Amino acid sequence: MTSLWIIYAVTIIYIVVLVLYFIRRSKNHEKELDKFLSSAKMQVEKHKILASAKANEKVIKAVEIIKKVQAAAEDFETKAQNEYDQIVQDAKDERREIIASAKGEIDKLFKNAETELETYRLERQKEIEKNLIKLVVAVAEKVVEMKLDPISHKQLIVNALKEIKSKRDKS
Amino acid sequence: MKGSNELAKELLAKIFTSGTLKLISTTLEKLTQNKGFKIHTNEIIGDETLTDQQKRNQLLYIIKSLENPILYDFFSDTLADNSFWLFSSGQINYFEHFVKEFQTLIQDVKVIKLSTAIPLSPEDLKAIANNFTKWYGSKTIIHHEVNGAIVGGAQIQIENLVFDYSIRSKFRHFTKEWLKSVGETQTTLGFHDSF
Repeated sequence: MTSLWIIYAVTIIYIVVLVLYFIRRSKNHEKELDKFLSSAKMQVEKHKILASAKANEKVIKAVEIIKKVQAAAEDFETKAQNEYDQIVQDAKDERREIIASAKGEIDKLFKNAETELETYRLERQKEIEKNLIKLVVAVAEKVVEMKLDPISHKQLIVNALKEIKSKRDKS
Repeated sequence: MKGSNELAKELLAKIFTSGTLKLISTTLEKLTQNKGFKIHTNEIIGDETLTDQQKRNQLLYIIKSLENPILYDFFSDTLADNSFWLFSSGQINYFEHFVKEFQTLIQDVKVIKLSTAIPLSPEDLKAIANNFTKWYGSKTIIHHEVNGAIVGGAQIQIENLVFDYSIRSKFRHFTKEWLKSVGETQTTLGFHDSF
């Protein structure tokens, strides 16, 4: 029985020793872990600071670029506006000139048309007078033709022959 | 007895228009080339059984068939004094000689172109041609055309000279003068263009 107790006692002692050993070991591990963790934290912090610095640099550059782009855009916009204004002004001037010129042309066309109309009117008038004279003469011709009898015809022929003879005698 | 030249002149004296001259000239030319005519006329002349009157009648019968009154009258007059020799074609062909004489005379004939509004009778044309012959001293014939467009009077062309005594030309002259006077009036009134 005693031996049994002894065995039990030894076992318990052994277990206690083991527990103590594991506790101690666990504590060491915890310390190492804390140490590692703190080191990692420090590294992370350092990295953060570095990254932040780099990010800041990039942001500054980006801001500069944006500023430049904005300045260029503003400059471009100003130039475009100026050019647009100039174009509008030119267009207005041109429109004014075209209107003035068109008015001049229209006046000229009207004057030309009036002159042409007057010339045409005069020509037509002359043509009508000319045709009227021709018509009167044609009618007179017809009347004379109808009035001429064979004796008158012969007399006219004889007169013609006499005129030739007198011309011949003179020459 | 008359010679070929005299006969040719007599025939020419009976012609007063270019149309007649052309017709007679062509007919005579054809007769000279017609052997039948030559033989037939020669036979009539040489036939001693025929009297002069019969010969004359037979020859005139042949000529009458030509249907040319001037030629018929001319040969009728010629044969009246029994000048049968003209149709004799022995050693000398007198008819051919006569035609040649006639064609030669034609060369010197003066042609006057006459246009009138009405047709003229052969007598009128004869009188006109005779007048011109008298004025020029050489045979003159008339080439007559009827042109109603001249209304009245006459247009006469003597060689290169044209004498226009037509009513139409007088009217044209009158029209021209009228138009001219209208143009002048318009110029005076301020219209600067003239007709």
